[in-house]
Amino acid sequence: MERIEPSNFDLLIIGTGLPESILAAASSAANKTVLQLDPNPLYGSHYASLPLQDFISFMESQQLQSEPSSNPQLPQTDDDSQNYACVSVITRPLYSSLEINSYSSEPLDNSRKFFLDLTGPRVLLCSDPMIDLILKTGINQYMEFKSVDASFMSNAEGKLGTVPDSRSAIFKDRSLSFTEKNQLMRFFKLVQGHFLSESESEGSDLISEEDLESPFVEFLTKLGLSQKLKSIILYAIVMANYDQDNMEVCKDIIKTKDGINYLTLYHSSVGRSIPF
Amino acid sequence: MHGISRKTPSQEEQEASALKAAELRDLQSQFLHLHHNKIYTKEALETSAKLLEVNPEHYTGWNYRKLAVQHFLNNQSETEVDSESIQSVLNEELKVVENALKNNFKSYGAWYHRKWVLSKGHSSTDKELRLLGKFQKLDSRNFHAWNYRRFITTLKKISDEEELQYTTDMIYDNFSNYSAWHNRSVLLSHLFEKRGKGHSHKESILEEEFEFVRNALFTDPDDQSGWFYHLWLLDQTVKLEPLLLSSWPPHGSSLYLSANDYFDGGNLFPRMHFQSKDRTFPIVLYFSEAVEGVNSSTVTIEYEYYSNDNVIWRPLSANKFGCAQAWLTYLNFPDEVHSLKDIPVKVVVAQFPGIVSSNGISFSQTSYIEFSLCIPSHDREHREGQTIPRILWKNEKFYPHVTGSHDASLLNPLHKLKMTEGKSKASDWSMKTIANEIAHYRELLSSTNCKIGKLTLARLLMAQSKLISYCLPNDGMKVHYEEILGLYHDLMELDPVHICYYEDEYSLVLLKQVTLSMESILRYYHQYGDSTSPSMDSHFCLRLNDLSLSRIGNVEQLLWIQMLDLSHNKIRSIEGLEALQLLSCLNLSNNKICSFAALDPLRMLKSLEVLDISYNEIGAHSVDTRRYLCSSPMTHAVENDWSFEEFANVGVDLTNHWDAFFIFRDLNLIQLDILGNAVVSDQLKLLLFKLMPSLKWFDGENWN
Repeated sequence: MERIEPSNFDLLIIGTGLPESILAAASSAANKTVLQLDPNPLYGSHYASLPLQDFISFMESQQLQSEPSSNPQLPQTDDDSQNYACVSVITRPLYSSLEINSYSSEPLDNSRKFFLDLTGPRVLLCSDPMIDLILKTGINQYMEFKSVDASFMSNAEGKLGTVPDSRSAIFKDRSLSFTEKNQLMRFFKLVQGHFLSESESEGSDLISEEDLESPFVEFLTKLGLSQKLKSIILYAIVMANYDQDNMEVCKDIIKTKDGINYLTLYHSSVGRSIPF
Repeated sequence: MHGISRKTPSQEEQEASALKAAELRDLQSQFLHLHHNKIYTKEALETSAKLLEVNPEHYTGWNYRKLAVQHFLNNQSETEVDSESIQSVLNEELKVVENALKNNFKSYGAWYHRKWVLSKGHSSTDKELRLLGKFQKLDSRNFHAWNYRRFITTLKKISDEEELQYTTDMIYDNFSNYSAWHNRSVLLSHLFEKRGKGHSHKESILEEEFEFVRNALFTDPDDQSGWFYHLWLLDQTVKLEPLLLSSWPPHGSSLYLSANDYFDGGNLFPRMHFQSKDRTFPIVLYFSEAVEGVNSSTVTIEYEYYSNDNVIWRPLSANKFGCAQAWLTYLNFPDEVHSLKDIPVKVVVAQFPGIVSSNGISFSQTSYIEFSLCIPSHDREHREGQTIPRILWKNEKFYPHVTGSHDASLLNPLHKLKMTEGKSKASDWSMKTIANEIAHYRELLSSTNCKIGKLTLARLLMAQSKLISYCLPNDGMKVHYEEILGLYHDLMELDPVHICYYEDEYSLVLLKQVTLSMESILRYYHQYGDSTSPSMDSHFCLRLNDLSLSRIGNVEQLLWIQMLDLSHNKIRSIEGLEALQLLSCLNLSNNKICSFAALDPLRMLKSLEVLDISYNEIGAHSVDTRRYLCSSPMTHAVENDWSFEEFANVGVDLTNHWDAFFIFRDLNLIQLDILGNAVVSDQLKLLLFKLMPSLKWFDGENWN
């Protein structure tokens, strides 16, 4: 095993995901010496995106890992034992349970052109304050971003359709009824108007305090939006990770306040480009 | 471009612009010197280019460059043509235009100059499309660029279908684009024209377009651009040929004519009575829309006392294209009648083609009106020396019309007259399409409070009512007048800026509703006189008072009205009233009439004797912003025979009262009420008596 020189570091960071990398870059910028390690054969940790084939083999390796492994015994050395304490690194598996099904043994055409995020869509909105942080720490030099060209959503029949997330997308959409188009756009305008009146501090917010604290899904129901529209807003735009309609299994119920904040961020990010 | 508010310039900016102005003045005087001396050297052209780059609005600058190019081309043709140098000269022009447009891409002169250069035919059009792409990216609504695009696509012979796809792409990009929607309507008009008679083709395109724009309207009902396109589609859907709606005398009627007001008792009923001192009676034709081409060759009259060739038809309140909804002529009736038999008259409308509506559709259904005249053999002089009672417009003088009384039987057949030999039917497709649109926008408005949506729904419902009027009466379709009135009422509150327009539309719908059936007309029909003695002197009056009317229209079922009460409304204009040729008593008191010029239609009412215009706003506004709506000697070619002299010695200064002069010199009123108007003065009274010697009652006083 090769020795790493120098052998003393101010900070040891395990993982090369976004938070780890920001921490590492910021510390380094603050004149600290940092050693960043990654147990995986690829960069990015939870933030990695892989082509389909690599994705499958990654998951297979995770499947092995997820079985509880006994902590390897740390080697005892004589000379250093007085000055250092050995700490074993405990990594939790990425997936809590994993089941891999393959519907086709043959690789798909163009499968190399598709990359999948390891842990669901990892979208950073352009107006997110995180972007400022990334630019400030300079870690953008170590990362690669792909702009979102389009977002699609699967319907009940498994067909993909563009997410009607903007005025012109709603106009173009072929799957929504005329009334749904009207409702969805009116909802976007309501949110927009809410923030406008908030910023003008007129005191008369369009969405009441009570609604802001209530679950987002309840607020959408209250506005009379159909199940289809609710799904579009909750899962395709706000990207809720848990089933918002099923309170028992839902570990993260999005509040109206957070929902509309995200939506506003989403809309202000469309069409914005960041000079990386 | 859009939605950017203007800022007040800072001190430095002001100084900079002053400096720029000084430079510009200097440049301009240099340039004018060159222009006047016809100097077209390279240096001279550079000066003009510099000027146009700073100020692309300099029209003389562009013209100078055109002259310079022309000068160059003329010198060319004398020797041999050098196409390369021509091209370089023209390319230089294109460069100057491009620089100017960089400075102001909305400069009319620059775009026009570019067109002029391109029409010389030496330049590549590919480059133009690329340039347009750039401009349309900068501002997708820029109508200059769209105009120029139409010019280039014609030059390049790009197909309308291809251009249609381009507008679709632009609309997909951002549907809030008036210019793109407009271009779509232009292209589709071309396509409809080219493909000619293929009706089903046009219908399927229109259906697709209705759906296409519906996507935009539902997505953002507050964006008006799509609604304007929808209006165009509606217009394309409801293109109907004009119809003859009604006439006076009505079809099947029998008319009792006399030269004075001698009237031979009630035993002549059911007959209508018309009295005329000069022994003429009017014929009025009322069409479903403004038409032109009504003359002795398109309308023939079979009448033994009159030759058809002498008939002159006059439009009543024609628009500037000479189209009018109502047309009028006068026929004489003979002094001596040798038999006691009725004289038949037949009016055949559009036996020969030539009557065309203002949107270019020909009247094709020949219709006719037949009525008969009855003339008493001995007309007695009756009126002379008799005191004429004053008409009192008081509620207690009116009592409701009793149905079943003698003239109800007279009125009923009037309304139900059928003149056409089977009406032209509106297409089922139009009916279905409009009904479908109505359903959609009712749904939209159930959840959205949208001004222009309400206006569109009101227009759709009116279009439907028009279509229904073309259908056979037993089709059983109902017009939702209450709904339309409700929509206009909402609009008045939602959009007070345009209240006058909504009030006018409301008035027209209300009048349509009032005149829909004889039952509804009779609800407003009153008898005037003493209820104790319903003598044969009693008049019948249509009382449309206190209905918030602001204008007049849709009077086709009221052509026979002689006494009309329009008091306590909001009337600003009485245009349309001139179709009521039998009108002799008119109450317009307590309205919003602003000037005498607004009373112009009264000049056409030869039978008018009693007029009440008290408590209006005549003279109340020193500047009458609505005067342009009225015809006057100032705006129209009204005959111009000012005869000031005869009034000078009466002590009337006509220059202050010229508009009163123009209205009242053509009237022969017996009774006039004018008090309660700011304009009233002793001078005016003097003038009115001078103009109308027949006046007996003035503001309630007897001047006999």
